[in-house]
Amino acid sequence: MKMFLPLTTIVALAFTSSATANDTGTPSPDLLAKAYTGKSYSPYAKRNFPERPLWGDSHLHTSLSMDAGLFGNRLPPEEAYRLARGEEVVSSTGQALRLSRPLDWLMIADHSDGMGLVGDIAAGKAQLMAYEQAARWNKGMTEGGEAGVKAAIDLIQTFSNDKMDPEMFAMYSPGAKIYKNLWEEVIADAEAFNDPGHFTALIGFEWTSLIEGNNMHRVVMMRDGPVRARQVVPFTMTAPQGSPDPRDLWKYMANYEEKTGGEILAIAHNGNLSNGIMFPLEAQWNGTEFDETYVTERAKWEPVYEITQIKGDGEAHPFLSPDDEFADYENWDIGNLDVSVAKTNEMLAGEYAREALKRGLVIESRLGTNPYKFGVVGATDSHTSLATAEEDNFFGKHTGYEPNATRMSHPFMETDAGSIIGWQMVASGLGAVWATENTREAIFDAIQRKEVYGTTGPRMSVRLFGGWDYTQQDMNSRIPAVIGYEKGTPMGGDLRVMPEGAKAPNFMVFALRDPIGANLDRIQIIKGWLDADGTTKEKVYDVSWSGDRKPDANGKVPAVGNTVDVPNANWTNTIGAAELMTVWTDPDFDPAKKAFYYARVIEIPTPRWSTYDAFRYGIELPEGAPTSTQERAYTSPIWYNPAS
Amino acid sequence: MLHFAVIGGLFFALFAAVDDSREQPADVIYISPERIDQLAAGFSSVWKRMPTQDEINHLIEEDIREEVYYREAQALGLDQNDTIVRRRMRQKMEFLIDTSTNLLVPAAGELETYFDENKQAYGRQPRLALEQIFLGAAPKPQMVDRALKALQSGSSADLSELGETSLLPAQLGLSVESAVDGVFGKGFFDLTTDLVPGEWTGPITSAYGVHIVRVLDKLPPRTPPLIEIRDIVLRNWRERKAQKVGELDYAGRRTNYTIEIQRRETEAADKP
Repeated sequence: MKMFLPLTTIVALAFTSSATANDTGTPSPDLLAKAYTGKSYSPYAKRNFPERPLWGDSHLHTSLSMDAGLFGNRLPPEEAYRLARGEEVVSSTGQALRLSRPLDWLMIADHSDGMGLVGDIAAGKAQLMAYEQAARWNKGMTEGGEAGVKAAIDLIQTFSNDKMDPEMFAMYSPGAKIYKNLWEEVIADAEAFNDPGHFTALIGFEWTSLIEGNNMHRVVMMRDGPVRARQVVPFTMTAPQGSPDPRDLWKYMANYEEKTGGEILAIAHNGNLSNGIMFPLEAQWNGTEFDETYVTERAKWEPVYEITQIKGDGEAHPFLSPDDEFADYENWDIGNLDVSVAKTNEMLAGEYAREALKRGLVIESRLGTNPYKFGVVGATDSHTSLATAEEDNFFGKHTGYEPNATRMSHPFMETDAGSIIGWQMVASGLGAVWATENTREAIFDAIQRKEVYGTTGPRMSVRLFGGWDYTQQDMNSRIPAVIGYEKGTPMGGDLRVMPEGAKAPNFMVFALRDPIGANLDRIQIIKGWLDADGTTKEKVYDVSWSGDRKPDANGKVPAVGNTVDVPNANWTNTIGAAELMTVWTDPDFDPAKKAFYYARVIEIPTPRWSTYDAFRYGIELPEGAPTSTQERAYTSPIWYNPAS
Repeated sequence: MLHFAVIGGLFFALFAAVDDSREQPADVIYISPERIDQLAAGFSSVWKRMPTQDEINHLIEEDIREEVYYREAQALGLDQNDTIVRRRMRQKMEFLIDTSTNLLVPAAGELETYFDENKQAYGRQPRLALEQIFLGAAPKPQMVDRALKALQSGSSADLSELGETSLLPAQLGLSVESAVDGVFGKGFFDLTTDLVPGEWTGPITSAYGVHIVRVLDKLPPRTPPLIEIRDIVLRNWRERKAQKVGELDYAGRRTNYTIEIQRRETEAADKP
């Protein structure tokens, strides 16, 4: 920052009133001049802002998770880390694979309930074989084939119907020595692969709250290493040690911070499978009305939301956003998590990120805190131990859906309320973190301050800055980030107080395509605001696009085209642009209204993973499966708060 | 092979010393103070507190009950041919052998030999730090020349004037190949790693277009000397040894038995 006052004045001001408060005497200007040398001449020195986004998956399951193990996952955490780090591994179905590029970080988030149980049953661990259930399942699993499948189904049903031997299950629950040892192993594996500056392994787990089949899951991420993490064990959703109520999860998290001195956060996901209870407007899932404590705690413990993953994209829905031609992207809107209850339109408003961000403004005006003031990341939630989110390298949701010729047409879930077919799985997503360095602490801190964005798999670089005096000139700088941070706030932050004479906020946004990926179609900025009558509105603005397309009468920029060669699962970068950037000013700004703005970056069409499968296996695409996809990135929002 | 017998023998001797049940006549069940301590310790590791007197008494009663049934079961021969018992006993044998390898100390020079044979596993990748000017997807050759000359002559005072605006970082600190390629596209590390540090060179093509690059710093690939990573190497050596020891130990024991396998007659198979 430039120094506006001459040095002598500063000296005088600083020391007139506090002459008695220091014991170093009164400095003279020439002494002080050496201490304040101003900004460095070199633009590269003394920079403390992030330089490149760090790519990772915050939500991966290994064979330690009950459901993953049941479906045949035999890969422990080590294999998951190896793949993420860039090595070649062999999947549970015996197929070799490697990521196109290593990830920079990974959090393995196995389900805390019954962690390790299924793997130990399959391995015939002695402490379990004394129980009739476990011995019977082990026998079936060892036999394999039909008997193995029967055993797995019996296990699932026994668990869902709460008929697990309580003593047996207690061994794999908090309080038991075996559970503590398993958690120690999880921590040890993370330590073995954590390589600060090169690859970060974050310690965490998934809290699997299910309310009558409605999804309320969160993954829980610790900032810390083994010394703090091993002072606790994960929180489960099964009584008496656990609870499905998020308030109890937050109590656990507060206790963790108090007991260990560490830091912890939670990331919710799959609002689209919660049948409306993920982002309610008036009351919690159990009917208790919101109070100030609830909204403050939720805002504090859940700074980001997982906006896209294999079980559906959660940004927007065409019913909620009928004017957004890109809102119908990979929606899973049949029902809740186990498809026990079908979806109704009234539920949708409590399920999708954009609507939740809007609801947050309403609740803030009512209770003083916005519980849905979240940034966004993408993740896979893969149960194969393989963090695959690329269309041409997709290994499915769980082991039963690793590549084979029937996975697309096989039903993923099927009940009386509805069905989801294999092709509907989404090869998504990843989280990009603008961290100052590749360490646990820096990545956690970036997520905490929401300087993050999510993509549906590709690694485009996206920067968004919001302020009051960005100009086109600022974009000519070769290092736009410097000016971005100086004049405003990056994604995830709040706009600075509106200065005198400012008319509207402006936003500097940049997007660079994935180096091995597809060109970009356009950048959009999506605005949501709270009207005077207490209702919320939204608008999608096209702010930068490739080529010389002109907006039509409604202000919409026409489609970019499509170079996808479906039979050969190929495309060319002859349309779109490698990089897009602009400074955009809100043309409809009303300083009295709370608002948020986030950027959505859309690629040109590329072959969907289903198209790759059809090509590689020489099979027909199932009915309804799209042939191409326009992958996208969603940034964390920037919020505007009217001066009170 | 000698040290296996020694280790095995050592353990059985220790086991015999600790196992106090052998010293009592068959119809006496003796619960020693040490046993009571063990029961209490097991309790408190789960419940995070010491048991009350009632709870201790209950634990002791349960222990006695278990001992009674254990002896009766043994007398009836119930431990014979029980899959669970067999498996557990195998597990205990394997555990004994496994634990004993933690005591193994490499002979003089043995660890060094192991390290030499497995050097590639301990190598650190080379790293590169560079700065770059991005000239766009398809700049005119004259433009590239001009920029190159300006940079090489050192006359351009403000580097940030040259080149196009881009999100591509103007500078990358020391990074491994996957990090450099992750930013600029596959192959960029290879194109730049042999450049003379401190000199501007171009045109160099990335996935995005044309660049002029100056390497700032290089870290060659390096295998740290054994002394720096002795703990890790020792641990790996022990793991490898444990495996070998396990196999040799089993092979040795197996020779004590004459093995006969009688298979059923099956149809001649068209099996591959």
